[in-house]
Amino acid sequence: MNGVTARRDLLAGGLLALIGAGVVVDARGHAIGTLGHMQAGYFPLVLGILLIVLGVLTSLSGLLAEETDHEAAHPLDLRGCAAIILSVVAFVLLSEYAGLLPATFLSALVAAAGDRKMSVTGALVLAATLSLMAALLFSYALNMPLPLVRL
Amino acid sequence: MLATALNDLWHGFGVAFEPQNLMWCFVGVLFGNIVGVLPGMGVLAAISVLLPLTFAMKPVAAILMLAGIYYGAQYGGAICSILLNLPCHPPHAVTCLDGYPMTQQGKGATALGITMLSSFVGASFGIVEMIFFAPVLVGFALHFGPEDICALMLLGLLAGSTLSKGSPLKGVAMTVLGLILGIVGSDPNSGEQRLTLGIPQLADGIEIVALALGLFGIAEFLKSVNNVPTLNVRGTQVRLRDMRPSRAELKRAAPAMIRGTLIGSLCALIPGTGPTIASFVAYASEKNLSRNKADFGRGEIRGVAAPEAATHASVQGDFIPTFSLGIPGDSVMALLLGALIVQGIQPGPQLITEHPDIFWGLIASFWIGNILLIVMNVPLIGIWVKMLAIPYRYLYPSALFFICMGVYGVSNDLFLVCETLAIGIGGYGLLRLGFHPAPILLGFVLGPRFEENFRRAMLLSRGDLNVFIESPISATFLGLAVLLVTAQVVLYLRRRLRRHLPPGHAPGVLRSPVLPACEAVPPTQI
Repeated sequence: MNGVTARRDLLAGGLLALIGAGVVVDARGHAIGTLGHMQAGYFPLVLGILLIVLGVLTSLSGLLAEETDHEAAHPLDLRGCAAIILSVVAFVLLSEYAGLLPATFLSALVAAAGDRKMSVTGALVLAATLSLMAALLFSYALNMPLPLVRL
Repeated sequence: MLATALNDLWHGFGVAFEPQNLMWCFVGVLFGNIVGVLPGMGVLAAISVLLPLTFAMKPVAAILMLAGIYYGAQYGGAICSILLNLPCHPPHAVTCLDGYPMTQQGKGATALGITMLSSFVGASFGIVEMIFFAPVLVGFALHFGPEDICALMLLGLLAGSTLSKGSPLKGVAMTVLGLILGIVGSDPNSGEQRLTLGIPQLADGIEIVALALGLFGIAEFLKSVNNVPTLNVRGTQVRLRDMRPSRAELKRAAPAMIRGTLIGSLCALIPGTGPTIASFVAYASEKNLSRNKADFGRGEIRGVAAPEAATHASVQGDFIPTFSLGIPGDSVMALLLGALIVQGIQPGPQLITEHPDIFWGLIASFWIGNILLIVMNVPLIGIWVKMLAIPYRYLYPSALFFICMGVYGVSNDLFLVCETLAIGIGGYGLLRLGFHPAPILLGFVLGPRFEENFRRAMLLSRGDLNVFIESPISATFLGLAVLLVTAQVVLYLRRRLRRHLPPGHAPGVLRSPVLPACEAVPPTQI
């Protein structure tokens, strides 16, 4: 038995079971029907129960594992992940309230800040290139209905 | 039969040579080739990024381009393996073993030349296989009842999830999760809102572009950021005239190429065994056949030719079940089917007769595309080598921008961008927990059709499950599915038993630490 893999698979199985339970709860809100005459809830109910079973099996399989699964053991990069997520959030908010150009420029800068080796000049050049592309390709050539700048 | 096929193919060439289709085919293979070269970028992400663009195109052009990305990427993927010993793309991981030693001996250009030749031979055979097999399969599949379709889908889903990367159990769990995501939205019979969590935008279901870009775009970036080394290509030079293999080398590589092609095209017919498995099997059998096993791993040209031919034969062959039965073999094919469905075209055995221009145009475009790729790759090889050195820090912010724009463009709605982000974060969570999200897409695309056919089968049989065993076709598929699961369990038990043997007994041939993808193939299978 291997502690790291066991703990991870316990968590993985638990998550699957939780999602399965959620699906079952939602399915019970609809008519279930019979096998010969299925209603909207039947298929999701079956899938939800199946996912719970698979979750339990996954948890058990982790207890039986002997080797650490190296493949999944990549380190979590907090800075990079935060930058990528915030970049998309920034894109959505700025497109909504400030327009496409500021959205592209700033979200590219935020995303670029996630890489530890990125230089300030590199990030600025990248953001400027992408903004130019947003204006020429998406706004002008493809006629995307997002205004370049909202005032 | 043969005459009609050739006649249809002739018609297909007419379709593929229409200027617009030809242009999109070129765009597809070029883009695929570039993405194949770039480190850290996946084929699935590339197809998903261009998917929204195809919504405004005609179905034929759309599918030609998306397919072009897939096989174009295979040409680019080998370059990284051979020149830098990095298995950037799983199907080419095994090419590292002999391709890189050839580079070290100063024969990297020859290895690339042989690779391109093998690719072309493999691909051509795969295309011929498709021309003859697909119509035969269709003739067979037109007699399927709903219970047979269900059983076939079940077999496809099981094969796709258990034979892909990682633990088979987790693969099945991901498929079920995909099926669940596929039923989000209005129930087709009663219109009831299922699993929408009260969000009105989800009434039409989860958008396939958002799902694909979340799982294979954002989740991949979250995993790879600060984790992809910048490649050093200084000192790697490929000269054009070195690419031509000598007569002796050709003579050595030719039989391996043919054997690899045969293995690849066989693998293509077995659902779930994609190009990665084909290339590993081809390498292993080539090594077993050889009298000088010690040469392998030291720059044996056959060790490059066989897996590359197998990869390409299998890539082309993958299209057979997808287009003749409507059952995708892997997640790339699932995405292509998704693109067809968005275009309003129902996949299934009727596709070839109802839309001959799509099917035969696609086949003809394969040939045109492969010729374009060879013509393009030879002079551009120097540029590809330079592109290998583009740091990941410039790639992912650009890709992120294209993802945001592409997803927004699907319906000009920023909600979809949020949906993609949520799916991406969820997908990364699954990756960290040791799941591989690719089967989700398979389940997602097949989910609604599976439910529909299952409901119909049960309605017709008045709720009698025996109908699955009484129909000989369905019983065969179910039998195969049971066989598949049993084989997986037996393999698992054998692996566990082997671990208790002394280390010398473990098959370590293909388990070199440089090749993480090797874990995908159980050693007993080889």
